Amino acid sequence: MDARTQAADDPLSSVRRRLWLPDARAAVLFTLAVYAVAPWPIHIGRQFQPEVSIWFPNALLAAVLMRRPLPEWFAWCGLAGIGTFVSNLTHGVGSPLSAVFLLPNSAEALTAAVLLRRYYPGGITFDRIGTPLALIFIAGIAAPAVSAAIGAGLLYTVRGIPWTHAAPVWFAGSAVGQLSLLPVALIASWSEWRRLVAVPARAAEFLLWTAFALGTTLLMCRVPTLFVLIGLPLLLAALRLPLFQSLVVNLLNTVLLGWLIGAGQFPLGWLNVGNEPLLGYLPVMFTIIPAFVLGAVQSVRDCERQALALSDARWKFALEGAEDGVWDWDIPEGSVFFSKQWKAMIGYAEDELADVYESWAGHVHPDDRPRGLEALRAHFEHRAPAYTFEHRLRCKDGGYKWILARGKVIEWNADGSPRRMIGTHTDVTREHEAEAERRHLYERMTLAIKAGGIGVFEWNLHDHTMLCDERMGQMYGLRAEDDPADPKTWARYIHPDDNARVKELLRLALRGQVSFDATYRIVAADGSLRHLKILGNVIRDSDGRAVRVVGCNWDISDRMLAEESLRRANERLRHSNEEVAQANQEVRNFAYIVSHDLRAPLVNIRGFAGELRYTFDDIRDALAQPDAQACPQLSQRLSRLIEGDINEALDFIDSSVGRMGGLIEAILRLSRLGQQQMQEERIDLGALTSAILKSLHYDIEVAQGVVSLPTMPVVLADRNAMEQILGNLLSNAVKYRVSGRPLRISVFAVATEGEGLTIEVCDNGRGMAADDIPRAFDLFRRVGVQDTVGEGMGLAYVQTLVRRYDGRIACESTLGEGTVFRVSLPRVRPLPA
Amino acid sequence: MVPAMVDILVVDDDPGHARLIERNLRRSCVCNEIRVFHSGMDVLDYLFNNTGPQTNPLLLLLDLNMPGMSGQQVLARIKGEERTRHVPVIVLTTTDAEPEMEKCYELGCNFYLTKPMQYDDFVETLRKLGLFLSVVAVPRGAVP
Repeated sequence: MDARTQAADDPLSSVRRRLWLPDARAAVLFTLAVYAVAPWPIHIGRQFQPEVSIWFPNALLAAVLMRRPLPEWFAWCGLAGIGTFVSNLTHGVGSPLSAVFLLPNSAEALTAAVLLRRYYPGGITFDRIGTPLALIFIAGIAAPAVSAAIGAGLLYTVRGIPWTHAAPVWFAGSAVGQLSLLPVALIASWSEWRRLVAVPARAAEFLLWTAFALGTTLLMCRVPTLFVLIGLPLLLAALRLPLFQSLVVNLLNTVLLGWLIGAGQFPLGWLNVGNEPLLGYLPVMFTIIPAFVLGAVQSVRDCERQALALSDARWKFALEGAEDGVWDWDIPEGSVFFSKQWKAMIGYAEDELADVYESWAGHVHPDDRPRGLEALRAHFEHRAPAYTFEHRLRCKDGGYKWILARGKVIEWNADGSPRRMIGTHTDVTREHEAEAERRHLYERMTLAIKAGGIGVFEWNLHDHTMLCDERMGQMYGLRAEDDPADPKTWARYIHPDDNARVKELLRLALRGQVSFDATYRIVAADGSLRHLKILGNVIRDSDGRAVRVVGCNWDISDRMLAEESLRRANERLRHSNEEVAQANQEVRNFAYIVSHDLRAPLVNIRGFAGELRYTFDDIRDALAQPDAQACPQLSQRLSRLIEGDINEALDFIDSSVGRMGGLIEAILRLSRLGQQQMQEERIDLGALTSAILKSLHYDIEVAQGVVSLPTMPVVLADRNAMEQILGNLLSNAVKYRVSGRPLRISVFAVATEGEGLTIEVCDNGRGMAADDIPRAFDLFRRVGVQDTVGEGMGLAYVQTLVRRYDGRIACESTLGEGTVFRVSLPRVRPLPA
Repeated sequence: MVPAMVDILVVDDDPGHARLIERNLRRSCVCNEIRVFHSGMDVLDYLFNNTGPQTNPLLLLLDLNMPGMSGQQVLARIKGEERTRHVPVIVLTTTDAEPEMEKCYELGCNFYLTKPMQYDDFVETLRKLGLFLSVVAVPRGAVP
């Protein structure tokens, strides 16, 4: 909540706080001062008590009402009454009439208030030039006139004092009373006073005119004939001095005059007025006459100002539009017009800052002030064509903003001194912050360059000179005799093998075809080989010709070493990959050899075993011939051997060869599954599973099996692979059942776009021990009790196919309870059913 | 009955196989002249450098997996030469790989038979081959 929002709640409150207190203080101080120093009103008061003695409260009342014609009126009215009373008692002339006199005084104050409000509908502040004048005009003429009429009427009716006598008496009292308004107004105008003393030259001039005016008055005491000249110094002072200062001269002169009259020093006798009350009117005259003159001067000036303001309105508006604050300084007057934006820039509302030079000067940062004054002086003395001053200005909240002030004197006095100056204020806080940020960035960059061990160079292509920082020299290990400004010096260090390449790159970069970005080796002065990276920016002139190359250079030897070792590691990896691939190839070849070359001898073994049978059949036939019966013992023994041992041997040979053939067939199949081209097609897994179950139908029925088969997805996959996977898993589930226990198989499959296909086959078969699970996938391996037929290749086939799909197969099994096989094939995509 | 004038050339590096083929063919009553060669070189040598009188048309039973010159090379050579391209060639091998088979047909082989692993099947195949050979007609041009 800042002051402005608070003021918005109660528009009057801030104004009151700011102005009310000085006013009240001024009024009280003044009253006390007059009581203390003025013997003359008491002198007058002796003759016309108690009537004249009311002027003090009258003055206070009027002064206050001029400013605050609101509820305070009544309070001050009461105070004034008390003041009157006290005043009378003080002088031992207490009178009940004092209270009666409050009425005309109040009427006077009211009149003043009404008139003020008419002319100054927005309220009035003493800070404004011309305000004291208004007070004099309005309160000094109109109000006392009304007051005098009422007062004279009262005196006439209550005391019987003749009308003609009463009017001047009262008028004198009122006039003296209003006279006291003048100092009240002056005291309230703090900024005017400040300005009076701010410029020593002006203060000196003011003192000179004051001395002149007062001296003339004093002189009149000795040479009464000079009385006619009494207005002359005042008029001259009014023409020469600013309005406020001339009023002060007037005031001082009037006070002196009044004091002289009161002290009986003023030779009034020759005036032959014959009636002392009129004397009271005399000093008033001297004040009011110059006030009229001043008023005329002021109104002329106001007209000029208004005309000027109209013509200024345009440029001020334009500047305000550009968010610049505008100031217009009347240098001799010390008054400055500050635009709304000017004040808003440092956080003030329009009526919160007085339009005086001090409003600016008082806000300038103390450190910047001397520079500012010097800038002004330089411009005033024609050393600088314009005034430019970048400074910090204190804001309302106490913070500072950077302001760029620019201005120019647009009117000069005849004596060559500046008369009027206008200018602008621009808020450059952001620019200053940006500048600070830039500096900060620069520091960080410098630090980074330093920390990164980066060398920076600038190569001027015009005169072929190099500008390099220290780091460059360190990196290349420059010798003392080397000239770092010569580009050739640096080129000499480049490794001979890289020289041509770097030069070519540079040539292309200068032609704008590539950016200058190269890695090369240098042979440093100490003979060591280093890898450097260079990055350059080609700077061109407006015609596109390269004029400079700015860039940086840093040592990447460590990185190169790391890269080299990485490259070697990769090489090794590639090598071992190749070895693995070769080994794979060999395994495949092995499968081929197994299937083909091992087959051939098997055919022979089997074939000739068959041939042997034929031979033995022939022998048997021969033994049955009648001539073989010649030796029945021998023929019986041979027959026995043929039927017994030989037959048995041949049977073993047959069955072994058969088994061996089966194994070779299985290996061949496995190797083929691993190499077969996958052909993706639409497969309804539900239909496929049903078909497989149908082929197992007989075994399932025997096992009293129940297969739960929920809805299966439709996928895009190789039919053969799916058939093999599901077929092997299902046939295993059927094969490895527990006899006597009804078989339960459940098949479950789900396919999603992200996860692919997952198949689960769950049975309540004999299960496997945890140790056996990995072996279940081995070739020709059948775990557990061997009571079923098969080659032990089923799971090996499944695993091979699953691997072809980059999938995984997992098995969970509990011995005696059942097994779950879970196959996940991430590459198999679902299709709409 | 195979016309008596057709000679059957069996090319197989495995002497056992060659012998079994011969025996089984004989058992199916094939009584033609059967000559056995144990390498591709030998049979080509016979075909192209035969100095002796040669009047009978020929029929080749060719194995593929042979050391030295493979059966396919022999096939290509025979089918590439004008003199021999009419000689019917029956490939009889253990390889049942599709690409091998396709390649042989491309090269011009007339039949492709696989030696089954089971001996009984093997015998059966040879018996059928014998029956087949007994009815097949070989052009006269099959004389090299």
